[in-house]
Order: sequence, then structure tokens, then C-alpha cells
Amino acid sequence: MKEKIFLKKKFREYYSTLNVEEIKIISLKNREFGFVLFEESGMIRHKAFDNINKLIEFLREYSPAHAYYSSAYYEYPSVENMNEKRWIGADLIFDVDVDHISTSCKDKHDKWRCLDCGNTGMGAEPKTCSICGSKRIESKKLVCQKCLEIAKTEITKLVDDFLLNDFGFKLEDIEIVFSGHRGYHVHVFSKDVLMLDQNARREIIDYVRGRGIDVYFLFGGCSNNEIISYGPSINEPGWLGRWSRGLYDYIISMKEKMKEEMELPEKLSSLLIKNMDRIIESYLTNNKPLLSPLALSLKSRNLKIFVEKIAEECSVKIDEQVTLDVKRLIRIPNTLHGKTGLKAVIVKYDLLDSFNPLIDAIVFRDGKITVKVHESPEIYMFNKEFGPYRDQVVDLPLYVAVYLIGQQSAELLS
Amino acid sequence: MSKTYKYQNSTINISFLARYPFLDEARRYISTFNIDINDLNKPEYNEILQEAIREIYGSISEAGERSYVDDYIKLMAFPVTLAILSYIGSKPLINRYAIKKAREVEEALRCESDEILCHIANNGLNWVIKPTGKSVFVISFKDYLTVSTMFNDQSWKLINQILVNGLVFLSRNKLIRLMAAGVQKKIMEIEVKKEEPPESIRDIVLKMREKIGETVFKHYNYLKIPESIDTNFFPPCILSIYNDLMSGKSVSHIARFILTTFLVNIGLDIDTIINIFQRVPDYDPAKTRYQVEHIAGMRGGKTKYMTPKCENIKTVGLCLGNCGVKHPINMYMRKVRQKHERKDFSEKEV
Repeated sequence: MKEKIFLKKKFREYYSTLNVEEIKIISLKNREFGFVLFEESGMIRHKAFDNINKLIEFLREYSPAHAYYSSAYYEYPSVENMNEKRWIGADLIFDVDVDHISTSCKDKHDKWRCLDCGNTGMGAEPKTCSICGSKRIESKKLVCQKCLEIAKTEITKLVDDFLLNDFGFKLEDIEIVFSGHRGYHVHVFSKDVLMLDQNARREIIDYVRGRGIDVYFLFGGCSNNEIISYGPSINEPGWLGRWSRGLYDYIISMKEKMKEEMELPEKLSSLLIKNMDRIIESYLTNNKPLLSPLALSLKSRNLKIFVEKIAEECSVKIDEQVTLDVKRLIRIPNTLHGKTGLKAVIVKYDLLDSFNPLIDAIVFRDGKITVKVHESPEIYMFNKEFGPYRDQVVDLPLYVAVYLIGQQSAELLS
Repeated sequence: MSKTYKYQNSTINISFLARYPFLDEARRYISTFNIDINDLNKPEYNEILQEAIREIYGSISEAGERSYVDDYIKLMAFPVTLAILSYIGSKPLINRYAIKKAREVEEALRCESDEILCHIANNGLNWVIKPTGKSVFVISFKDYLTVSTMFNDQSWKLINQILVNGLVFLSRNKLIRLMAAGVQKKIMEIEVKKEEPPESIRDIVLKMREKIGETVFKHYNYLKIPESIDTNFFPPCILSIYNDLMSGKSVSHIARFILTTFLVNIGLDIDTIINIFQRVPDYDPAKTRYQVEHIAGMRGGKTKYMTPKCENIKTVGLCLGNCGVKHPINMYMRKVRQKHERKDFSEKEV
């Protein structure tokens, strides 16, 4: 408990010096707010504020561990019954979280434990315990620089290729926010998305996830049983060009891959490997892949598998539920994350490349404190390495201590 | 009535408005006559009223050749038809009429110039469409998605369109299909009136309600309430969850939710549903009742939960194959109907 009081005190320091201009919320009056407090379990929902000052006042008074607002706009945001809130639209939200991307380093720093039988393991947590089948699994996940870099690459792909190029959103309608934990959120505030229902949002998800791409769309000119000679040009718009560029990247990366890693039917992988140079050659001379050596027709089962595999490779691994949900609560930009003490920083598009959350999102930069760390893998903040620790009393910079206490990996000394 | 006006190179006249009575300009034109719904039983509106009735009957039975109807009558009958439909209050009937009207519009659109197509899309559906030459059009993805999700076919998925800078490229043929579907949607979304119809159309509405109840939608009756669980009609995903549950396997929360919403929505009673969960290892009668009743809309927010769509079942990894439907309930209805029709047929044979 004293840890929670400590974190709350630190968060209060942050909010009490927070500039009102730092929290910008479009149509604030029409949004629902939700908060998780340090001292209580559960979420306070259905809050609404008339203006930004009242919200800031609330943040200063309660200094919550987590602060959220709805992506939806309501006529009556504070009414408890969801139907009576009167939904009047919602922003389009994307969430790219390391939890939904497989990264090689997770096996080194993420840990899980079954609450029923005590079984433990490293890496991403399984859905059910491999020994007792229980679903009650607790996990400890590190905020890792490598993982975050991968999430950032996905975000860049999402914003550049999909949102700006294909969907034609304007840069000023897009807000990229570090989640404060293990990923990024993208908010799209365009009037074009406001009224989209779940079916329409599902179509946008499938577009971004590369799902449901049709062989007839990619190889439209062919008749059913004819062997496909070429794929689309890399310069074609939308998914035609994207798929073609994706295939090129895939073939280039094949050189370092084992056959099994290609996740394609045996016959197809063999043909791809055998004809790799010819296909690359055709890209260089014609901007499009030569496919005839693969002996695929529109009707072949392998074509569908092949097309879907390449589409998956060039898709963006978003958390689909977040985009689908038109009544989602999402972290308020520039508030603090209770599990890390990091700030959900808004990242300017042109600074995305150089943005480093483990420097730029650090808030408690001054001061040191002594804590007892139960267990922690090595963590990397502000370009310095800390740990690994196990049952150790250590003198740490305040931001590292806040992070470890937030993760419940450390306690204060009395 | 002879009022005509020019739109670019084409003449927009009353015959044009009668073909596309959902246009905003048609609505404005009609409103200049100031016809009050309470006056519809006056003799001077009899022809309009009769045409509206014919329109509704025409959508539920294969009408024979229609005799010539004056454009003015045809045009004025459109809002009257919608008004009667909204008072009859039958969603399936409204949908049938919407489909019929959409077909007519689709036929008519095929004969229009590219420019006129764009004009109709803009004025009638509030879409911004531009021709790019060679019978290719662009439409904003927002407008495209409002209607394309009504189609089952993969070729309509957004991912299978050329999407550049927020614009979807469409052939003339596809645009016409999309516009017809837009009209269908627009009609389907008319509000069902809960209050009693005004005196002027009261008799007509009541008579039609009765007639429609006993003829066209009779075959919906057998869908009403299954007395027991007949798993023959279950789609594979539901059947698998059901079988897992029956064999005492541990079933995830989301799977239980899907099954319960399914059973609630096919009309099974609460107690029958609760009984199914008895086999679950962690069965708690009070908790189960609370949750089932919540899903059935008897508690909390009073929302009756619909079964998730196939796509969402796919997302959570519980879909077991392409059944060719968008929703598990559709699969159920289809199977029940097929059985019913077969039975019907064999009965006739005897």
C-alpha cells in the first residue's frame, strides 16, 4: 500500500505542474472519461467534464494510475446506460502493441506464471496453462527497447502506407501517441470516419491486416486455368503494388531463411527457391514478378495460400478489437501510465524516427531513491542499463524506481 | 407538372423524378404540393393511394404486367408508400419493398449517362462521385463502405479495390450496383412508427397488416420458438461449442457468450439454456442465471445481445469453416427453412 501512496504522490507532482495546453481533447464535453485509481480496484466510468480545467482539476485531485477517454462522442456521456448515452460518432483508433507482434526477445524478458498450479515459463503468455489448462495466468512483461522499435516500424507502415497514401487522411487529422507501456496508439480525427459503423471499421481492419485479398483482384486478366505469367507491378496503387513489393521483400529475405520458415507448401517453396534469381531479375527489368515458373493458375489452392502469406507479411499487426470497438476507452495523451510511470507522449510524425520512448517518455528525471527489488531482468532507460536484480536493495534513479514499483517488482524501504 | 429543368446536357423532368423518387430534388418538388397525410382519403388523392397500395403488394407477390401509370402519380405515391409501410411496421415487408425498388432503380440507372449517374448519387445518396473517363468512377471510401458491407461477395471487400488517397475506383457496372444497394439501404432505414396510423390510412394499414400476416410471412411462423434444442440446425461453430460443453470440456468465456446469445436469439427459453450449462465443471446456478438473463436483456442495461457476426467469430478463432453466411443465425434460419420447405413439398406430393 505504501508503494501506491508513493506513486500517487509522484503522479500528483506531475499533474500539478502540467500545463493545461498539454491536454488537448476535441469535443471534450461529448466524451466519456474513465479512471483507475491507485487506492481502489476497478474503474470509475461514465465521468464527463464541461471543460479542460475541470478535467485537469480532477487529475490533480485524484492523480489516477490510468486516465482514459472514449473514442466515441455522446450526447449524454455521463449517463450510465450505454444506450442512453446517445452515440453520435467515434474517432478511428489503431493500437499497435508488442503483445500482438511476435518478437524474438520476448523469450528473454517476458515471464508468466499459472495462478492455479504455479507452472511458469518465459516468453509470451499462453492462453491456457500447459500443465493444468487453467486460464488464470499472470504475466510480467518488460518494456523493451527492441520490442518498441518493432512496434514503431509497424506504426510507420500504418501511417505512411495506409493512412496517408491509401486512405488519404491528412497529417493534421492523425495523432500518434506512445501508449506509456508496450506500444503506440494512432487516433484519426476525421469527419470521414466519425459515422463509420462496426461493419465499415471491420473492412478497414481487414484492409490493414491484409485479410481477404482475392486472387481475381491481383491477377484479374487471367482466365481460370491459364498459368499466371506475371504478378502486378510494384508501381500499381493500393494493395496491387503493396503485394508486389511485399513479394519482392519476401524473396530477398528468403535467402536467409530455411525452407520450413517460409511457411508455404513444400512444392511452392522449392519452386520459389529454384527460380528466385529469375523472379528478382524480372523485378529489375519489368518492375513486376515473373510467376510462370511457379505453375500457378487462378484455381490452384497453392495460389491462395501464397497470396495470403505475402499479404500477411506486408500487413500491419494491429489489435483488431480496439479499432472495431466504437465505444472504446483509450488512454488520454500526455497522462501517465500507472504500470510504468511513463508518459503517453504525443509523437510528431516527422520526429517518429528519432523518438525513443525510453528517453522521451521519462518523466521523473531528477532524484534517486533506495528500493528493494524482488526480481527484474535488465532494463534499459535513458541509455543506461539497470539490473538484472534479484532480492537486492539498490539505489536507483527515481524514474527506474517508479517503473519497478509500478511493475510490482520493487518495494519501498520503510 | 410540366416543370422541367436542365442539368448539364440532360433534361430533368417529372418522368426523371418518378424514376428516382428518392432524390432530394424529388422530395423538394413533392413538398411544393403540400399534401397532408390526413387528407389522403380525399377523392383527389385516390389514384395516388391506390398506386401506393399496388406498389406494396407488388413487392410481396410476383405482379403481372403493370399498366401505364402517370409519372405524377408514380412520383407522389413514393412518399405515401413509405408512410404506409412505416405504419404497417413490418421490417421484413419494408425490406422486400426496398429490394424491389432497388432493382427498378438499377435497371433505370443502366440507361443513364455517366454525368447523370454522378448527379443521382450526389443528390439522392449524398455521395461525392467523379467520373475519371472511360467509365471509371471514384467514390470516397467513406461512402463506399456505407453500402459495400451489405454484399457478401469477396470482390466487394475494400482490400480488393484500388484505393488511392481516400478514393475507391469503380467500374460503371459496380457503381450502379452500389447505388442500387444505397437506395435499398435508404428505404430499409425508414423509421417504423409505433403510434397508430392516422384516420386517413387506418383501414388500409390494418387490412394490409392482416393480409400480410396471413399470406406472405406465414412461412416465418415456424421460425418462432423452438421447443427443444435441435442441433441439426446449428452452424458448425455453435455445434462445436455446444458439444464441448455437453462433454464437460472447459469452454472459454467468449465461446459461452456466443453460444448463449445464439440460443437466446433463436428463441429458446431461459431455463432450457441454463440447463445446458449444468455440465460445466465450474457450474454455479445463480451466476449462470444472472449471466444468461443479462444476455437475454432481462437485466442491467436491458440490451438483448445479438450473436456475434461470423467475422467476429473468426477473429476469436472459433469459426470452423466458410458456411457462406455472414451470421450464425442466418445459417440456422436457412437450415430450418430448407427443412420446412422440403416438408411442405412432400406434404403437397401426398
